[in-house]
Parts: sequence; C-alpha cells; structure tokens
Amino acid sequence: MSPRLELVDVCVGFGGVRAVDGLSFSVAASQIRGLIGPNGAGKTTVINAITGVVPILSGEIRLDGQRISGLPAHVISRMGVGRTFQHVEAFGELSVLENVLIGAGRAADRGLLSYALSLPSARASEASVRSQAMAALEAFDLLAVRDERTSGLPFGLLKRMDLARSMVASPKLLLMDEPTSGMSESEADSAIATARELARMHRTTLLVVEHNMRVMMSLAQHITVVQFGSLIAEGSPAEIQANPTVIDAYLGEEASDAVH
Amino acid sequence: MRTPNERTLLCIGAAAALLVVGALVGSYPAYLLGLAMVNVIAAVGLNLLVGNSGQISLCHSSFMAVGAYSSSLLASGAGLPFWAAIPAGSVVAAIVGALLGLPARRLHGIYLALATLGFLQIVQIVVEEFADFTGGVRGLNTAKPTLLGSPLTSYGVYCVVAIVCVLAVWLAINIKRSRIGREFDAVRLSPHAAQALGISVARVKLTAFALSAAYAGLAGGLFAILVGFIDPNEFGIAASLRQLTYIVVGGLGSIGGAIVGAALLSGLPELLRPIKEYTDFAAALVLLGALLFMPHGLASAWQRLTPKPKATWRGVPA
Repeated sequence: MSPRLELVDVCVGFGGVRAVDGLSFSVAASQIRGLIGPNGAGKTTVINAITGVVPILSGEIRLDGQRISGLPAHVISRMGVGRTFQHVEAFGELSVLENVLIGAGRAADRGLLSYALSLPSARASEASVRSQAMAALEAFDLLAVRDERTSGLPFGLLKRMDLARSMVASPKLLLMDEPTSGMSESEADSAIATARELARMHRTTLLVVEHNMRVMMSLAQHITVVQFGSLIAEGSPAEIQANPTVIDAYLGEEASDAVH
Repeated sequence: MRTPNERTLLCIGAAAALLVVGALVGSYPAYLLGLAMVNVIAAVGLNLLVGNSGQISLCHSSFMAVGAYSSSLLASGAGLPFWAAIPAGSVVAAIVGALLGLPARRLHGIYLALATLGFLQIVQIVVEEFADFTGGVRGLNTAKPTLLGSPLTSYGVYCVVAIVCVLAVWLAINIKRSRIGREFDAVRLSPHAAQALGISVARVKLTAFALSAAYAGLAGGLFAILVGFIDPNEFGIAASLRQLTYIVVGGLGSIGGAIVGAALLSGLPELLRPIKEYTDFAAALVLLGALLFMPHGLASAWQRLTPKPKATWRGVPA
C-alpha cells in the first residue's frame, strides 16, 4: 500500500533561493507526523508546496500514490488535503459558524440555479452542510461563540475555529502550521487532545509544524527534521531528542534537557 | 434569520403590495416606481459582484445596455414576445459577462476598474457604430410589449417590472444565503483560505461576473419596455457610477442595502426637481455624506440602531 503522503526529491525556489532542496519523506496513513527545524528551514514552504499554493521546481508529491503536484490548490483540497494557518486567515466579517460552513461546503456541490430557486436538493445539501458544521462546532467547543464575528475574537479561539474549519470536511491529510502558537498551555493541551481524538476518529493523517517542543514530543509519533530545505534526521521523538545533529542544528542542549 | 419559506412568503407579500400601490398612485408615480425597481435589480446584481465577491466594476451599465439592446432587437427583429426576449437579453448579458470575467479573473483593484472602464467604452462605440441595428446616438424606439395579442397598458408593464423585481430579489437572497454566497464572501475576505478550503477562486470570480451581468441585462430589458426608448447615453459611465453609489450608500454586500440605496437615490432627482441644475452636485453631496457618516452604508447603520437578540439556531436539534 502506498503511503498517504509522499514527497520525492522536491525542490521549491523563489528567485535564486532554494527554500526546499531535494526533500524526500513519506507519511503512512493515520500517522501523526511532526515537521521541525530552525526558522527559515522551509517548513511552511513544504506545506504550501503540498497544498499547491507554491509551484515545485522538480520532484513529485503524491497522495495515496497519486501525483498531486501541479494540480490547482482547490483541487488538492477537494482530494482530501486540509490545512490550518499559522495566522488563521479567518473570514473576518463572517461569524464562526459561517467560517466553518465554508469549510463544510466542499462536499455539497450543486448548481447555481438549484440554490437560486431553493430547490429541495439544494435545501437538503444546505441542511447536511449545516449539521456537519454544527457537529464540528460542538467538537471544538465553539457553539457558544458561533454567531460572533471572527474579527473581534481572541487568537487562541480563532486557532480552534481554524482547526474546526479544516476538520469539518474530514480530510485524509491535515497539514497544521503551528497549531498552538498564541495559545496558553492549557488551550494548547486541549486543542492537541481534540486534534488527536479527531484524527483517530476520522482516520486523518496529521503533518504538524510546531515550535512548542513539549507539544510536539507528546503529539507526534514520528518526527522529520529539516534544515536549509533538506532532511537532516527522521525518527521517533525519543530518537530525535537524542540525535546529536538535531541538537546541534535546532534543539540546543538546553531545549533538549528541558523536554526530558 | 428567517427560514426559506418565510422569505418566500415575504416576497409574495411584497409583490402584492407593489401591485396595489402601482394601481393606486397614478401613472406617472407608477412609472417612477418602475424605474426605481429597474435600478433595484441592477443594484442587487452589482452588489453580489462588488459587495460580496469583492470585484470592482465600472461597466455594470454596459451589461444593462447589452440586455436592453439584445432584448429589444430580439423583440422587433426576431418577433420574440417580451416575456421571452427579456430573459434572453439577460442570458446574452450573462454570456458577455462571463467572457469579460475570463480575463478579469487575473485582475483586481485599480487594474480591474480600468479593464471594466475599457469594456464600457467598447460597448458605447459598438452601439454608436452599428447604427443600422441600434439607432446609434439617435436611439432606438423599442417594440410595444404585447400579451396574448393585445398591447400591455402602462400598468401592465409596471406589473411585469414589479413581479420580476421581487423575483430577482428572491433569487438573490437564496443565492446569498447558500453555499454560492458564502463562496463569494470567502473569496473577497481571504482568497488564500478560500482555496485551501476547496474553493476555486477563478470560478467564483467568473460566476460573480456572469451573475451580476445577468441582473444588469434583466434590468436593461425591463428598462427598454418601461421607457419605450433606449440610447447609448443612458448606459454610459454616469450610470455605472450611479449604480455604484446605490450600493455604497445602501451598504456593500447587503441585499436590503442595495434595495434601499437604489430606491432612495432613484427618487432623489425627483425630489431635487426645483433645483434641477444642481442635481449632480446634490447627488455627490449625498454620496460624500454617506461615506463620512455611514461608511458601511444604510444597512449597517440600521443594524446598529436596532440591536437584535442573538439569532437562534434552527433546523438542527440542539
């Protein structure tokens, strides 16, 4: 069986800079994978390349053995690749519910006319999209704020909304860009617990970029370490913490001690 | 938030009220009301494009021209009855809108404004140069609409305009409340997040262009039978700017705002009749005042004046 996600010798560049340079790794289905590395290592670029937001120069990215590199971003998303954003990217003028509805809507594609005429098929699809969205709001404990405009909400809450918005469509693979940044410790713990629980329930594979090593070590089953756009190590959290190259490049003695 | 059935009943009530009012007020006020409703249709369509999908357009009046001329020519040349010619004109406008939308997908802001301004000029020139069909700058007398062999009275035309106007608003509400409307908003607010959630930004922009052109085309066709005469001057840049004023004063992205903005400002020239020379000046003052004191339009000013209890969730058991 082919892995859920596979990167083969992927290069991404902007002008003369190689942000990702010959990166290869693969993630098995239902795994929770961590992606770490120093600032500027190309972690967010990897996410942008997988989601089709930035083009790759060479190599190939596959989802369940099927090539997805080169496809438009919205097509990749509809194939079951979700993402959350470091800075949330909320639809600010819309309510929490409406934000999550937009994430849920992808499964229900009817024609413009059936929506305009409010045909039974369109109403049924709206109803199912709404009940999906309500279930996601409940799972992420957002029901109380569902009618609030997102523009005024605290960042930790928006992060949870972002997670709900991408999980509502039950993606096969969810790419999480710093899911707990800006959250308090307890918020981070509960968000991570929810993500882990949902990933298990929906059999979603997670690829998580995270700077909080405490969170990363408890969440990830397997960790990939990149530096200057290339792979420098891969292994279990314990192996990564003990890896001298990783300690040297990223963790540092102190951080490595701190998580023990 | 009302349920779909309540919205439908409300629209039927509004149509009935408009028909009664039109019968009571006399023929000239009914004619003015008809013109206001034509403007409402155009404004509702423009608001879906500008207020919801976030694309600027300076050529909405050109799509009105496309609808007006093509429906008039289909009626007089091909002998189509008005009830077929007007929807056909709307479809022609939608197709032209989609064609303009193709290059417009890659443009935004000032570049899109300039591209649409260029399109407006092209339509003006085409109408003026093909005078054999369009009457050129001298204009075109449109065929009198007939129903079952007898010509429609002016009240009959008013009824057609009123019913179509309410129908167009009903369709717009349904679209806005559906996934299509949410996609429009998503593309305006964050194209980046929208595509990550599976929305084709290019397709949404194209849909918005075609849809708003269909509304303008419909308004143009109704304008032609209501006034009985069309000329290119009616669909120039001034008309496009007037339509933008309707939705800015009424409230960007709000259907209610588009209706109120278009209805109020359509009546303004009548109210200003005693100071006719200063009509444009006064209209500009209204726009400036609205931008200064109600930057989000009448719709949000109204919402602030009438704080509602939190909407309750319907449709899904808690």
